[in-house]
Amino acid sequence: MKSHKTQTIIFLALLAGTAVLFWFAFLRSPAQNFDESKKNAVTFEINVKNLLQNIQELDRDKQELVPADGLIFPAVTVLAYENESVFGILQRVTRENRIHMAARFTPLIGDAYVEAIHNIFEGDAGALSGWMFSVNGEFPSVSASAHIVQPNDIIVWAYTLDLGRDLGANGEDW
Amino acid sequence: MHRDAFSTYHPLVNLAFFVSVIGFAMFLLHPVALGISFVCAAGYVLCIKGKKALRFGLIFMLPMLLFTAAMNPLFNHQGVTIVAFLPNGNPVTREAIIYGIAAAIMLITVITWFACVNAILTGDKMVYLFGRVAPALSLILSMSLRFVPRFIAQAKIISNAQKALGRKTSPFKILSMLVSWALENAIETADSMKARGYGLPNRTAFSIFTFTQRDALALLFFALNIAVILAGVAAGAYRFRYFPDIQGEWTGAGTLAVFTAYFLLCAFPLFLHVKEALYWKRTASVI
Repeated sequence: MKSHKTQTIIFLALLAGTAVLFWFAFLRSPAQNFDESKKNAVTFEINVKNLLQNIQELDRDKQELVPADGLIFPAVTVLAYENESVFGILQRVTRENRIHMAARFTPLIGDAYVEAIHNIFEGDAGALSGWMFSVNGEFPSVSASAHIVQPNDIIVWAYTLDLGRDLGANGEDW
Repeated sequence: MHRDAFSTYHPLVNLAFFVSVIGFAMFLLHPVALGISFVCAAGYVLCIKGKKALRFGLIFMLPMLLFTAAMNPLFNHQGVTIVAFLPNGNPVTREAIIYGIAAAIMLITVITWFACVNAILTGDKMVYLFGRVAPALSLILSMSLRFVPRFIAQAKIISNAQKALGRKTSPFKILSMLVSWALENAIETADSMKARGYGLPNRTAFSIFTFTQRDALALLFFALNIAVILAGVAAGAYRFRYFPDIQGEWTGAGTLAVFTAYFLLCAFPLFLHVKEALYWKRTASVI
């Protein structure tokens, strides 16, 4: 029979293992292998213009968060590193400009999913609402963390109330 | 546990109290309401269970409180006041931290109320209350409610027996013995109950509870307070929001009235207990 000590050690090891697993599964951000020496410029914008006409659809407590012009981050030129993903830029820009942003990660496939920007969460304006990004007017059918930006791209993050159909995204893309 | 005044009331009064108080504890997330409910629940459980409850609180509830409060900001990123960033870039917000603490207090308050339920609404009261409406359910309830204390008691017996044999038995082994005992015990219980006629039609359960004027007054008192609280909730006197920023009603006249009613409701058994204890002391000193 094993002694108390061995069992305690096994128990603690299991606990530590769970914590490590937990870290890798939920808290670690996806690896980003961009090149910091090469800098490009892209146009970047975050808007909730779709909510302006449909403000009553939005959670009552969140309505005061919507700016009058619907722009959370106006379209301006921002820095983008070579090989940086759309998600990488979003994370960097929101942090530099003190804008709230939350994402969900699936590190196993290196994925990031944007849950909220400026405290407006997916699902706050109906079950089909959430954040989508477009690059040069197109809605790529990949995750923001998988889409690498090219120099002079126009990146727009917009809030949809209808799975992107109200943004002009073609549902057949995905 | 010495005799508690509230447990001598009619089971219906006990049930009405716990249903309303636990319901309000789960749905009223205003910090003052949480504080009132927590203080009353903790005070009452200390009165009826004494040191045992205090030990349980420090060993089990306090870590659970801290754990739950700490977990929330790791997963809940709502809130406008960013205090820090997690390694993956998600924000830790002040609102999420405060909400985590509030939710943790709500959790342990409800657990504490259930500890009181266990002590006050005993098996015979359960069977009396639900015996006619749902005989099978009340039997299952009264049996399952005593499972945990029963298991703990049996674990102690096993542990003592092992100690007396001079063995150092690990808790896991004791658990294994406990499971064997539980399986065997279940079969014995089933046989024994069958032999005593459980499940046959027209089987009655003896009870000696009478509904007196005192019980009616207590129910009226509950109804009055519940009406005030519900009116307050409907009128928005309880309004408190945690996200996206913290905003709430604190000092309005309606709010204070509602808090008073809530306190009177939650503290009712505590009042009775203290009143009874003081009365006993006075009479004892006269003797």
